[in-house]
Amino acid sequence: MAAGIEIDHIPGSSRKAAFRRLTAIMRKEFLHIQRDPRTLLIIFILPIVMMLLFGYAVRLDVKNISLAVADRDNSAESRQLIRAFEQSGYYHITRVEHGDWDAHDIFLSGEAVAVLSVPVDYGRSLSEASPRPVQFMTDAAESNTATIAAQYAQQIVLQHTLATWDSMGLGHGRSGVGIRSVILFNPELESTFNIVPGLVAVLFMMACALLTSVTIVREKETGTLEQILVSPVNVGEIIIGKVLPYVILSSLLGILVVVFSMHHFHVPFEGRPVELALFSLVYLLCALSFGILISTKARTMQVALMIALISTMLPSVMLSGFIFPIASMPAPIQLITRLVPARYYLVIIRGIMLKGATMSDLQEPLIALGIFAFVVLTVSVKRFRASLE
Amino acid sequence: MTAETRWAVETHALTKRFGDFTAVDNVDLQVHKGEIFGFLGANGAGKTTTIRILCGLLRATSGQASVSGVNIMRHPEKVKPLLGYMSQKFSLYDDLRVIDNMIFFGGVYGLKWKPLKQRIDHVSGEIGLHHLLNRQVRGLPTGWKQRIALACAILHDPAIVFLDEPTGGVDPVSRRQFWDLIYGVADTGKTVFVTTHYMDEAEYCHRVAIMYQGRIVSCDTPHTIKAQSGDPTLEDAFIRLVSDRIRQEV
Amino acid sequence: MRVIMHLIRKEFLQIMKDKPMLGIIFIMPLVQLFVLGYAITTDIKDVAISILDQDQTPESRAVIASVMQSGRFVAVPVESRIQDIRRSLFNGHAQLALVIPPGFARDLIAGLPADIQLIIDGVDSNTALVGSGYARSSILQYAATLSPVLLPGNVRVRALYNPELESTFGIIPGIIALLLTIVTMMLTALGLVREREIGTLEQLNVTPIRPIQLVIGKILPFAILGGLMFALSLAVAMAWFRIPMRGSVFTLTVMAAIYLLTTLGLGIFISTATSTQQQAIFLAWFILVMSILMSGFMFPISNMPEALQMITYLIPLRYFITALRDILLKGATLADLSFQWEALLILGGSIFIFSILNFRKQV
Repeated sequence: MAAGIEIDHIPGSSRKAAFRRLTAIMRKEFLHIQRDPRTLLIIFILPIVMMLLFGYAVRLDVKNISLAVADRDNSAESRQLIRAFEQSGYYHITRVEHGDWDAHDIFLSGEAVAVLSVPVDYGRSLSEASPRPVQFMTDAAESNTATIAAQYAQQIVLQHTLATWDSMGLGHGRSGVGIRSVILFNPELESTFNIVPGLVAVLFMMACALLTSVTIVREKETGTLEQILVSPVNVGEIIIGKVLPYVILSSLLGILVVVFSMHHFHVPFEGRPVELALFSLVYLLCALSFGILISTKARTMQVALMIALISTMLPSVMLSGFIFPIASMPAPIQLITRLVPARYYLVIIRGIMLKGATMSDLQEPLIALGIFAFVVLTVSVKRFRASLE
Repeated sequence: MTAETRWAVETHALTKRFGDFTAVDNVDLQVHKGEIFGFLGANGAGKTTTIRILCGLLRATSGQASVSGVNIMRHPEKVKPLLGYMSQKFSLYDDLRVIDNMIFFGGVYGLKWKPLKQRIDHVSGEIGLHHLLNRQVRGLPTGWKQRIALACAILHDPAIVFLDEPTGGVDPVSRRQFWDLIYGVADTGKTVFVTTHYMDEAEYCHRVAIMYQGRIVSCDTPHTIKAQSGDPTLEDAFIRLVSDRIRQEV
Repeated sequence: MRVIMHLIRKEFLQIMKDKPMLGIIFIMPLVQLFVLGYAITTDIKDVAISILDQDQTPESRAVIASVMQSGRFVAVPVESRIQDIRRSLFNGHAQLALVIPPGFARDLIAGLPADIQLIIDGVDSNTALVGSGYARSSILQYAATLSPVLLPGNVRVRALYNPELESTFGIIPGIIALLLTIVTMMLTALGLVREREIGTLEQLNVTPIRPIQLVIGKILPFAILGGLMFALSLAVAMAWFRIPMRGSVFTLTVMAAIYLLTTLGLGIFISTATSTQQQAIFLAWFILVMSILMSGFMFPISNMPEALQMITYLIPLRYFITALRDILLKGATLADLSFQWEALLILGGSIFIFSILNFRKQV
């Protein structure tokens, strides 16, 4: 905003005049937003719709695995095993037969995604302490469900075996390993607790990077930017005036989403709202700078939109740890995620909302985000100024 | 209805309403074959709406209209091969070359490849476009885009050409040259129906109609209109006629 | 026919001239295939685990070894105090902690219940669930080795179609289906809206072109491009990601053609419902987000609440993703996929017909 110095001697460049100019630009920007009810609708309705969709549809935890059972033994033990599957809460049994069938047909018809086949003599072999293995087949076209289904199955069978032996006095004394689990921060393992803070990060990117770039490019396209430039407004004022309304809008959006999620999904808020607000501003600054940077590269709104979607939105969703854990990605992709600001913001907002983290806990992501904001802002303002000349 | 064939355009009590607003109000028009017919009026007078009805882009609310003897209310599709249309926006694909635009706009009228090539050659000779054929439209001066749009509108050899403010945003020299082209088009026997709000251009027309708030205020040769109102130029006559109307309304 | 040929010729000329657009059509899908193919992994690997062994006996070390041998965990530096464990979970340095209390081995040998504690960061509920599941299995397996009788592998697991349990097998067909949707729907919608914006649609409307000719001329090029892109991505999927192709090319082509009807129809629908390219992109974006979330692409439909499951029946992508996965991985035939193609035909057919009827020649 050093450009203000250059025109200090010109009348009308007093601080008051600068403020009036700034409010004029902001007022116009708000009018634009207000005049375009469709966009306004998108800005405020879409997040709520997205949150409801994400809150209800995004469930990676696998429950209700459809299971077809071939019980070829039909003994007390085999029926007990099947009951153990049913009572685990993970499976819902679509069919029990006493013969055998081709799993391929079942998977193709979509009747079940897993098949449990209990061998003949299972009950007898179990009581003789050398159980015949049960067979568990999964439709691994969806590997996640298949992996988890098999894992549950192994646990259930193992527990069933050990319990049977215990009841028969076979395993007496030496299988007494117990596991006590304590789940911190999200004891019910609600996926919404994880999703909602992530959604705020994505929405901020959308509202700031996307809208800012599009609105600046629109002024370029219609030629009004040139019109503004011939007035005594300086570049810093243009940027602030254009960007501030979107900061306000985004903040409102953020509050809306957080409050809604607390009421509707009972997401906790353990930390201090002031800290979240403060750190969110750093992230918003990042997003806005990206928006400005994009606007200097794009000549048309269409191109701006495309760049914004691909370079900011997509990484914020896919590469930030929003849905897919970064630790599970291959090393080169993990390196790329370090360049995604949303990654750091997610740690911050999840930490504050769910764990009650404070500034001292969040130094690492804050520093990363701060560096990001500084670099991108500097580059984008420089580019923006250059693009005007 | 055989009498219709005497006229290139004939309308009777043509009316178009958009909700409460009457854009075209009981318009009666007769345009002779082969004449250059000027359609004058202020912005929002209803000129473009009238042209859009005559081209089959809009349906009239009531009234009758025929173009080249074809009733457009009854056969809106039959009239389309007979007319050419050039909009104020010079709607061209500016990412394509001039020749590609011509091939396309000729092609969509169903011209076969050989006759199409001949027509393009002929028309670009008439309009003076030969040297530009391989250039991309984007980047050409407005004056040339306007000529290309005209060329595209007459490729399929229509009986009548509708030009909707064809000279907007064009310099005086290009405008004069463009009117030379319009005369050239009329010389080949085509009727030219042109809207404008440049009064000097209106003087070039065989006959003009002045439109005000959806109605035809006056329709005659420029000479007669001037004589009737006693003004030296058509511009003065136009202003007098329209202000008379405004005074009557008040 | 001649008229349609001219429309198609023009469309291709425009596409060839538009370098960024060509990039969007051919480069972007490949980049997305690679990045997303690797990034979207629903596997849970390398979960950071912090371990506190307060017992320090051969038994406690055996438990730890058993957990680490599962290959699912990465140990963060061993902590010595329980507060440090809580701290590392709080900071996100670890997502899971394994605490073996003092006296574990003693209790175990004495035949008393010996407890091991798992402390889990529940924020990322999926990782918490799956990760703790792995830990649990490992501990149970250790417990089983203690029993007096030898336990032969008591469950024989067979993962059909995807024995290595590669998550790419399920994800890549999903991405390809999604890309086909994006390219064909977006391009059709934008192509038509752009013609309206620059006024050439009006110019076309004064010509004797019929609406149906116009629509065919506009969508056929994008159908062809979409098909090419589809084939290209499939080739990459097979060559690079080693996705098997167990079904027939014929089945694949028929299903893709039926699905294209839907996406092109949606494209026309978007163009009729919007007046600027910006609005068109927003509407298309909304349809895409809905499709991604509700198609079962990443999130299993069976986990959703009943009401939401009903809505998924209206998402065309749902049927195509299932069809594509089944053809590639299971070798499904048209007979196996009758539910999918019938649903797509009804859904896509009605969208297509509705959109064309809506596409009035009169602007």
